Amino acid sequence: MANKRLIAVVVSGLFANAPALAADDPFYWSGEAGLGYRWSNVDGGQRNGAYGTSATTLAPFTGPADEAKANEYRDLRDSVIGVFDVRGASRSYWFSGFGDQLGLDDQFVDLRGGAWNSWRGQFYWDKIPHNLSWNALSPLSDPTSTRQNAPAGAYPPAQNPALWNGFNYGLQRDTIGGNVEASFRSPWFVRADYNEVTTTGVRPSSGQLGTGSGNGLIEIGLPVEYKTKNATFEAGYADKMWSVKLGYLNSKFSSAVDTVQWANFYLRNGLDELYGPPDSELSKWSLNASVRQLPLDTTIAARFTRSELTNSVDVLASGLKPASNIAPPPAVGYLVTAPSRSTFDGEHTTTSASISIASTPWRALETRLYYDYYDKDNGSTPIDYAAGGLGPGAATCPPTGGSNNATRYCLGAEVAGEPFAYTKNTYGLDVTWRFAPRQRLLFGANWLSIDRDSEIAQESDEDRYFVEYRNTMAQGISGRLKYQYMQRRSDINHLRTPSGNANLNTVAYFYSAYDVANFDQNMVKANIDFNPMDRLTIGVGGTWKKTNYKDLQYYGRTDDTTTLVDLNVAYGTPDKWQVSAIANWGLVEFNQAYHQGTGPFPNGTQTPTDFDWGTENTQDYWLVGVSGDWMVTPQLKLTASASYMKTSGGVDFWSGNYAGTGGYLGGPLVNYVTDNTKTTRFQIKGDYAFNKNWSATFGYAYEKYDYADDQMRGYQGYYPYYQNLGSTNNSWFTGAYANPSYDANIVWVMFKYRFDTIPAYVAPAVAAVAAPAPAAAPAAKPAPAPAAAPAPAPKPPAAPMDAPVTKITLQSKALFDFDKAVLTPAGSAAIDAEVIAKLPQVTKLDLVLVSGHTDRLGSDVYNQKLSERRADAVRDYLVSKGVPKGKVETIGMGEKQPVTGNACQQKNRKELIACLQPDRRVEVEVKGEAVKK
Amino acid sequence: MRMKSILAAAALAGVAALAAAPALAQPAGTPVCANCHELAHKSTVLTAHGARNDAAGTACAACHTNIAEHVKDSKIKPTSPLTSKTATAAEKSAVCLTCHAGNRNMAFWQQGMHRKNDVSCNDCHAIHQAVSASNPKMLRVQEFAGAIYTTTARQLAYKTCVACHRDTRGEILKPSHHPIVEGKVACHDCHDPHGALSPSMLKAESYQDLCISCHADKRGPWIHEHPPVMENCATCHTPHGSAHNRLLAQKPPALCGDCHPGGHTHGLYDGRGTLPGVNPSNIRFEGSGCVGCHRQIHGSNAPPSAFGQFFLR
Repeated sequence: MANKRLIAVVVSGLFANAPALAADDPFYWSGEAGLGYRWSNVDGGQRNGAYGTSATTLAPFTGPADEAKANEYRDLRDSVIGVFDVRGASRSYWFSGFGDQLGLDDQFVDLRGGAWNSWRGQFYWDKIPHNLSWNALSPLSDPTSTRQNAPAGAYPPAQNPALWNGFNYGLQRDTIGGNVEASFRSPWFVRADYNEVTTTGVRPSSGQLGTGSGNGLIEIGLPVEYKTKNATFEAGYADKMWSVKLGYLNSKFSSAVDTVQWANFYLRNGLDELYGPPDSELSKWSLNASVRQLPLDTTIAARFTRSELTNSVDVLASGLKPASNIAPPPAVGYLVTAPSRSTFDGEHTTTSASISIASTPWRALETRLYYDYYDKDNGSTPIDYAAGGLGPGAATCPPTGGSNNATRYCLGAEVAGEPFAYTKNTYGLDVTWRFAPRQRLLFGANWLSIDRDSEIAQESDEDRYFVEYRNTMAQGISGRLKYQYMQRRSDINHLRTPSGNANLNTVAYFYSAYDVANFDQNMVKANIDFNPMDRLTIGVGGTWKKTNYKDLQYYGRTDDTTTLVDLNVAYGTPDKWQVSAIANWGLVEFNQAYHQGTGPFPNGTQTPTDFDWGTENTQDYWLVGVSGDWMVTPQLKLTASASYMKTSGGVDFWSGNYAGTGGYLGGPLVNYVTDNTKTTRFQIKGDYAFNKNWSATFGYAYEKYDYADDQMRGYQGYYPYYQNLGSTNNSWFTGAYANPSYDANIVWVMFKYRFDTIPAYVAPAVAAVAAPAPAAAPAAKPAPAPAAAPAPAPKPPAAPMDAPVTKITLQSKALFDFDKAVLTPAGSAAIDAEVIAKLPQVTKLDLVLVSGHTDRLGSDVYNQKLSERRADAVRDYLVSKGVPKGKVETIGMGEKQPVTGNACQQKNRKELIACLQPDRRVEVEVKGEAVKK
Repeated sequence: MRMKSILAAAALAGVAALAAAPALAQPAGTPVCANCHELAHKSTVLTAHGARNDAAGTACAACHTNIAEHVKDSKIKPTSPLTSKTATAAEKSAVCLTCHAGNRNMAFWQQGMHRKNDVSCNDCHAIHQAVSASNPKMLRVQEFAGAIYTTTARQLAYKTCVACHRDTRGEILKPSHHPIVEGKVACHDCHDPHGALSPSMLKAESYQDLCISCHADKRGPWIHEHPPVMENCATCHTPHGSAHNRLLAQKPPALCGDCHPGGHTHGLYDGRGTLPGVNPSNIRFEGSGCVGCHRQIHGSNAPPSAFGQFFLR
């Protein structure tokens, strides 16, 4: 407690002193700049594909390699690399600047500065490349533009990808911005922040061809150009008890690409459209507040937010659709479905309020109560579309749609559903009970209730309860064990019958959708951290979680299990060498039940066209890594690390009548593997310091990434770029993500110059016991100090001088160094002042009894001897100052006569030593007759 | 009692000394501690902790308390909770909170998971290590055995977090990941380590509001909405890392099949009636799976004639 007040006094004192030193306030710098070169060689994965020459035959085709994954978030091209890392400060101002990868796609620059405790500013520029898949191929011309045509208008287009056009999928996201914050040494503050995020590039997209789900699709490169402008203003007050912050955020998003037109081969090269995301504006107010140091160590914290997301979009009335869905349509046309409004005004309003009360109602009990309210209201204007028809027979279209034939294509009316909105209420309680020193039990309960505008499930309740035990008892071991039970109950509407609104058909009434399904879940989590011996630390942890879904009389997910294990081992000291190893393992399994056909309930009669089927899914990964560094010589440090990670997954299908006819339409049910990857990494780096300023770094890194997945399997085997599904049903693939495997070798070297204008310490040319050193001060100035400086100085005499016995107590700290029995100069001076100076007042000196005492820490025997030696030292000094030797007697009392009694019982050693201070003393009893007052 | 008085005297003496000290051959603020503890001095002299020190080292004493005896006899170590093996996390944090409790970023420290789990300030921050302008918050630099080659030379904050959050360490190294190990996204871009009122100490009031703060192209509002997109991004995505593209928790069609059985409108079986592995294979499993046709899965403004309500355009 005392230290806290002191610290506050000291620090405020330091900052208050600034004006006095403004005249002599140089700016000191420290930092480094580096320049170097990097070479890299990346071999990407080959796409060994094929193209279909008929519905049943394929011709092989070797597609180009793809190095994008190696460059996913970094720019690895051969280039000069530069870095700067500079800091500077004076007593009034400071500056810090960092930049690296200068000039490259992943450049980072961050400059900050300000006046201490007063104001500060920052500028940042961060470039993030996101390379997705390179050397893709498209049959369309200008495959990254907003108008992608069929090649020279040819129909049908070439099926051989060798004749297609190459392009890259990838994005570049640049953020540039800055902020300014000011408090001017008061608890009030204001802050303004502005940044712009620009994303440009080509992202993967695709378009379904035709009108039916078996008509095929085409993968497309979609050009994007997004810009988001964010401005934030905040103001508030913060001190140790109160904190309030009011903030306003305005974020404007705009997309420069609204529409991309592309030739739709199913529609005889008629122009189809893909649309970009709509512009929008988000406006948010927030208020954060907290108050601390309330009774029972209570803190109340609250947050309120209100945001509005709005936009305004022209409603499209038509999209491209054929005059007929019978193959191949002789002419193309546009199906118009008149919308109820020409403008869509989107509006999402979000309101939230949270409050949390944490307190310590009893010494060993901490509690936290909290409540959250979150409401998302959807005020967007719902749009209805009228029915529409196309073709000569369109006038005969029924309003319910469907009913297509050779002369007409009919679309029914689309009635907008209730805009989706919801409200969440969460109540919770946490209790921590320290029932024994360094052991705790934690309990918690959390109830979340979601109310939705939805026909699928209007209400969901998620309840969680947990209990946890934590132990930090043994030196160097700490552990925890946690069990949590969670359940979700929703009122899923299983008895809906589909109405005219197509939306209701998409989540079937005999199905339990995953995000609302009822379930029970058990989770156990444990971890242990220990250091069994010096410099060795080990950490192990694991989680096991199993969810059992209920309502298995309906279809949906049936259960899932997640198991995770992690391990860390580290050994060594940073100055010499250290080694660390990590390992992670995880396994996720989940099972789903589906149905094919019209009979909707599980375990009903199974037929070849109407049967239950399902999946058993597995995903697992494991990772091992090891890293070490070694100071080979004081100038050379080597760091090496290696890691290997494997992910694998698979889907096993089962079918209700598999044993019979083998599934739908006679095709086999097969297993397929998902996202099997192996990543090997190795890196070695050396830092060599030529001298105090110059150093060099050289490094080599190797990475190998292998990828296999049955959904892209053909790209390593026979997967077709062009798939001939039938004369009118064809699919066209660009090779996006087909084979991201790569091999990379990277070498770099960099020379760095380190500079530092901070001068070395020079000892002041004044007396060794300098004025600022406080504890020594009273001894150095014997006369005035004892009055000014308390504790180290001797206590004033216990009794007035005219008593026949005068006991003078001298604190041993002032006389002797720790654990020594040699009088310090300060000690001698103290004895001069307290004893020798007073002796003339005694007329007839009978006896001077010097007794030494210690506190109870340490062994009896040891303390006894120490106290005797100290008493002897004081006697010798008194004798040297003229006190008759025969009149001085010494005695060592060891730890037998404490003056603190039972008052000192602190567990903290430092506090205990401080408390026992009065016991560490030498007592000088002067027996004689006094004369003068 | 005594300690308080000694140190109060020290403070006053130190402050007095500042004004009265004779001109030294170095900046007035260089503490006597720098004579032996050069690295500790250099690591703080250009930061708020040391830029306004004085020759007595009172800024050093603010955390290391009883340095006076140590100055006299170097065998007496200053006993600060920060370096004590037996101090509790609350005691260690109390040293820093003496000054920093009034910091506006610490407003929710009492409510936060880190305080509740006995994480103290110096478990994450280390002000006496070699400082870099790339690590302005002085996070404790940890070794990380993931062997990632990163083009950036920065000391990355995630290494401090995964030293304890080891299960997340495995996730962020998976093939599809936010660029955390590359240094472009940091743990503290989404989480507030000093305490927050949201679950998982997220910085925003919900998943949605957090994700759309960077991914503004997904925020709509759209004419045709996909309700799970509005309710919870985590229904489909797993933000730390995934073996599957686009941070999806599972691949389509298993992902979509968790809500949409497909047997009702069109099944995973197409007219071919086959699955991958057979030529010609089922288009609904190939490549991006369901999203190959239903590309605008986050929402669509296309008209029904383009099947916008099914997110086809």
